[in-house]
Amino acid sequence: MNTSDYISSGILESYILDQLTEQERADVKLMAMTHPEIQAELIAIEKTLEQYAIDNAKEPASYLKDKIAAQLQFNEPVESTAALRKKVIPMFWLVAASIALLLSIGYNFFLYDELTNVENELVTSDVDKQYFAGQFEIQKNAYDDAKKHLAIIAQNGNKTVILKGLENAPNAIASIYWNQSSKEVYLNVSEIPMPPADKQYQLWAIVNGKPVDAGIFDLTDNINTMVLQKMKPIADAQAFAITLEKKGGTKVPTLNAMYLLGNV
Amino acid sequence: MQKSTKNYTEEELVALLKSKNANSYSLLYDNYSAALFGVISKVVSAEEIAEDILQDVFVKIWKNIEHYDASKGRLFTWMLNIARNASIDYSRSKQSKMDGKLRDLEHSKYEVNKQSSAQSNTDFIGVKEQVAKLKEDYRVLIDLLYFEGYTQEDAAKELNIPLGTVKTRVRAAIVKLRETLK
Repeated sequence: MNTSDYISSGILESYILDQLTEQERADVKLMAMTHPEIQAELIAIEKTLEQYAIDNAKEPASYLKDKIAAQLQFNEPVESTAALRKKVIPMFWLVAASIALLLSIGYNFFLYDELTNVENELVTSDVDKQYFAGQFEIQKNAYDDAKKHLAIIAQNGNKTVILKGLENAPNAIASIYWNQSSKEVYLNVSEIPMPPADKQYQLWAIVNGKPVDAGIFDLTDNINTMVLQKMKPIADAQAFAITLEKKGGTKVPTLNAMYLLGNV
Repeated sequence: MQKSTKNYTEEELVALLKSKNANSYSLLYDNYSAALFGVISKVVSAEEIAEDILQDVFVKIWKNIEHYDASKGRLFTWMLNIARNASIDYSRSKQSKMDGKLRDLEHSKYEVNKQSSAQSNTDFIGVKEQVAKLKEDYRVLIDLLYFEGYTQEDAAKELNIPLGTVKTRVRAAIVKLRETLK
């Protein structure tokens, strides 16, 4: 909704007339803070109603003003200096002015100090702001990734293949999301031992009894996080397997280093 | 009506009021007593009771002026809320049972308006009257919502018109007011 639609929707009038729910009030406040023209419209509405009230004014009986004043607590007005002025001699003023000047200089230093403090605080709060903006960006990216991954998993025509750990790693488990029409293969590893630094896991498609390279992959520190890795496209396969190979992968899998296997 | 505030911005006036000296009270009273008394009188018709409420309202304003927060709205809106709530509290309290009956009678004038509204759709009434009629409908609606603190639902019931109509009329009414008050 653009601002003029928002203004003509009538919500601002309802806001001033206190007709909104807490949530709606908060929304209007936010809109007013971010859109000066909405803030201006709110003030205009308030002033209109104020003027309307003034037009509907009714003069109360004149004695009420003093009657009310008698019920109020007043602070003393600031003492007039006129009485003092007559008594003092010019020399007094010279000294007073000098003292005032000194005090003023001192006060200026104090103010300057305060200003520096405030500036520092401003910088700190700016740093905080940047930090939170960064955190927000990270969370947003994670959320976007998760959404993307969910969309990939939920794709029509997907085949899910569960790969289970063999003797080498009985607890290992991974899933393949394989779209047979687009040939795309995505891998999600739930549990697998961390490989030594000089080794990498490699995925294979078993096509008519022969292993076809489906790409190598790395593990993130926390493999429990939902990570989908796009592998090489595969047109046809009866099974998928994962082996542990030297860094960069091999052309032919090392069969005794097979870690996971799953039939399509 | 706004007498001496011409020389003060609202911020200055608020700062003065917060100093709580006798001059600032005088300024406050001269500028706003009639408008606030007008609001109170819309809800409470008995003159002396309205006067009592006006006194309470000024005492409250005076005591609470420190809590007034300009970022939440204009000073007058804040004072009007105090006046309106005090009036509504009174009219709801037990001692106002009798007065309430008078109020019901008073409100029957809206009923009359509503009936005339049905007639005004005919060709017998000229455009000028229709405009006047519309203005009257608007005025009644704004009075209920703004002066008497009705919810839009209650106003719809009171005026016997759909809630949707109330909502669209509020915006139209204030736009119209803005034109006439300019």
